[in-house]
Amino acid sequence: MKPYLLSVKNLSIDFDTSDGIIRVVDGVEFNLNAGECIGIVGESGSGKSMTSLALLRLIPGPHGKISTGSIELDGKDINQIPVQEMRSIRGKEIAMVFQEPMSSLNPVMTIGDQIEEALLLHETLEKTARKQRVIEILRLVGIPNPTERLGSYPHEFSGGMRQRVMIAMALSCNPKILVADEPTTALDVTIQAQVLDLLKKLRKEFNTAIILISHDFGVISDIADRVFVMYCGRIVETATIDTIFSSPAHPYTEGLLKSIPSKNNLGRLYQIPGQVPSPSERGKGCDFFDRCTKQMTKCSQSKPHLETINGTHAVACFAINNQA
Amino acid sequence: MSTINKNQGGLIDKSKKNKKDISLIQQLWRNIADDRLTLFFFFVLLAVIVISILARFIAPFSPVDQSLLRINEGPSATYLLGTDQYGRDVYSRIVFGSRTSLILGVLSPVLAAIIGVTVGLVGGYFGGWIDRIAGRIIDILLAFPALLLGILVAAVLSSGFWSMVAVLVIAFAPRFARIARASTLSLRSEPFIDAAIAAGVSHFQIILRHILPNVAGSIVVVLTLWIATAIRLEATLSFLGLGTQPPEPSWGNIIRDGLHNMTASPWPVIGAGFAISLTVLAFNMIGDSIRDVLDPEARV
Repeated sequence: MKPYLLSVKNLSIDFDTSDGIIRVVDGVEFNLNAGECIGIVGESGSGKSMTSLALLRLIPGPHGKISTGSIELDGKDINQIPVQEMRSIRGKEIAMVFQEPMSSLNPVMTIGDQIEEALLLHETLEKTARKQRVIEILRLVGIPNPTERLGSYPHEFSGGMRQRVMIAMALSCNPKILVADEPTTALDVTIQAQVLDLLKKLRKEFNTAIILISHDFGVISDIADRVFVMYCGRIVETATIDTIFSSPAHPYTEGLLKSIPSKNNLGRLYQIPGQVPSPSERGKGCDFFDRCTKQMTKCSQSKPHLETINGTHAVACFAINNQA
Repeated sequence: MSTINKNQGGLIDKSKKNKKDISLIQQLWRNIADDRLTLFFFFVLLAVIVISILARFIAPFSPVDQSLLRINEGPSATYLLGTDQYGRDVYSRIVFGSRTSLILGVLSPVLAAIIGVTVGLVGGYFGGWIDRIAGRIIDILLAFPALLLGILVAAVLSSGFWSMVAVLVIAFAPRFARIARASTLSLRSEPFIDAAIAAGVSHFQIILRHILPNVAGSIVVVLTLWIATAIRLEATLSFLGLGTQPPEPSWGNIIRDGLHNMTASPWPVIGAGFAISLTVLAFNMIGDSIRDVLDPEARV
C-alpha cells in the first residue's frame, strides 16, 4: 500500500496552566493521502484548531506542548526535525489559511509583497518570474485585475477578497497540504460558497490535499471525502461523508446532524442538552456522558476508544461498539 | 454606457499611478507639497540646515567678540537682533548656535531611537527572559531624571559634544524602547504574524518586515517630539558644565544667558526662542507627513 502523505499517530497536546495540566487534544489519529480532503468538525474548544496548529508546530509556547504521539510528513516526524528544516516545510510543504481574513494580513504591506514573501523564501525565481507567479495566483483565486491590485493594501479589499488573498498566499509555493482553519466562518454565505468552490478547484487542478476545519457540517459535506468528529480533544467518530450523513453512529454526531436546520423539519431546532464540560470537569468516564441519550453505567467508568464498526467507519462509544 | 465605463477605467488608472509606480520619497514629497503650511515648514527646515552649514558666511560678526561699547543694544541695521550684556551680536550667535542645536537635537534622538527601538522590538517579540532583562534596564533608566544622569555622565566623562550626545541617548533610548515594546506586544498577537510564521518566515525577518513598518509611524512622531526636548535639554546640560561651553553659542545657552539680562535686553531670548519654536514646529510637521506616508490607510 502507498504510504500516507501525512500520518498523525496518537497525538496529545497538553497545556500547562495555573489549574494544572490540561489535555486539549487526546490521542488523535488520522491519515491523509495526496489530493485527499478531510474535514475535522467540532465545537469551539474541541481541539480541532490545536490539532491543525500542531501540524506546523505552531502550538503557542511556552505553556502548550505535544506530550505524546507523532506527526509524520512523508515518513519524517515533524517534531524531531530542526527549526531550520521546519521553516522550509512551513509554507512550502504544508501551508495554512487562517480564520480571520480581517487581521491575518499585514496592514502596511501591499498584498503583492505579502504573497511574494513565501516565494522569496521557498523558491528560486527571478524577480520578473516571481511577479508573474504572484499575478497568476491572484488570477487563480479570482481577484479581478490582478496586475493592478498587486500594489493595493489589505484595507482596500473586502473580507471575501482578503480571504482569497490569504488562500493565494498559502498556495504561492504549491503546497502538498493546505490546512484551512475555518476559512469561511467570517464570510457571508455567497462568498462562502465561492471560497469553497475555489478550494475544490485547487484540489482538482493541483492535487493539493486539504484539511478543512470547521464547526459547520454543511461546509465539510460540500468538499470533504472523510470526516472526523472531535469532542473534548478526542476523535469520537470518523467515516466517509456519505456514511456520516446516512448512518451517524455516535450520539454526539447524531445530535450535531439533528441540529442542522433543514426545510423538512420546520419545528423547533434540536439542541444537544447540557454543555461541553470544561477540562477540569472531565472525569475518567466518557466526556459526553452527561449529555448522552444512550448512557450506560460503563460509560461513567472509563473512556471508550475508537473502534472500527464497518470499513472506514469508526466510533468511540460503548453503546455502539458493544452492539456490533 | 461606454463613456461611463471609459471614465471608470480612467479613474482606476489614476489611482493605480498614485500608489504603485511611486517611491516612498516621491510619496512624501507629494504629501508635503499638497499642504501649503507643511510646504512652508519644509522650507523653514531646509533654511535652518543651510544656515547652520553656511554659518560662517551668513553671520555678519563673530559670535564670541565682546565689546563694552555696545552692550544691550536694541535691533538696528548693523545688529539685526541687537546685542547682549557682553556686547555680542545676537543674530550672529543664533546663526552659529544653530549648528550645535541642530546636530545635537537631531543626532541624539535618532541614535536613541535606533537603540531603543531595537531593544523594544526584540524584547516585545521574544518575551520571556529577554524581555524581562530589557524591561528592568528600561525601568532603571527611566527612574533616573535626565538631569541627574547628566551630572553623572559629566562627572565620569569629560565635557563636550559627545558626552552630551551620550546623556541624551541614555535618557531617550528607554522611552523609545517602551513605545516600541508596547506596540510589538500587541502586534505579536495579531494573526498576520502567525500567518507569516506559518509561511516559513524567520523571526528576524518578521521583526524587520512585519513589525517594524507597523511601529515606524508612531516612532517617527515621537522622534520629532524628542527633537524639541533635546534642543531644550542641551541648554540645561550646558549649564551643568557638560556640552557647549561659554562663550560658544547654542540656542539653549543663548536663552539661559539672556534670561539673567531680560530687562536690559530681551532680544537674545526672543530670537533664540523663536528659532527653537520654528525649528521644532518644522520637525513636527515633517514628522506628521512621514507618518502619513508610512500608514497606507492615511494615504490619499
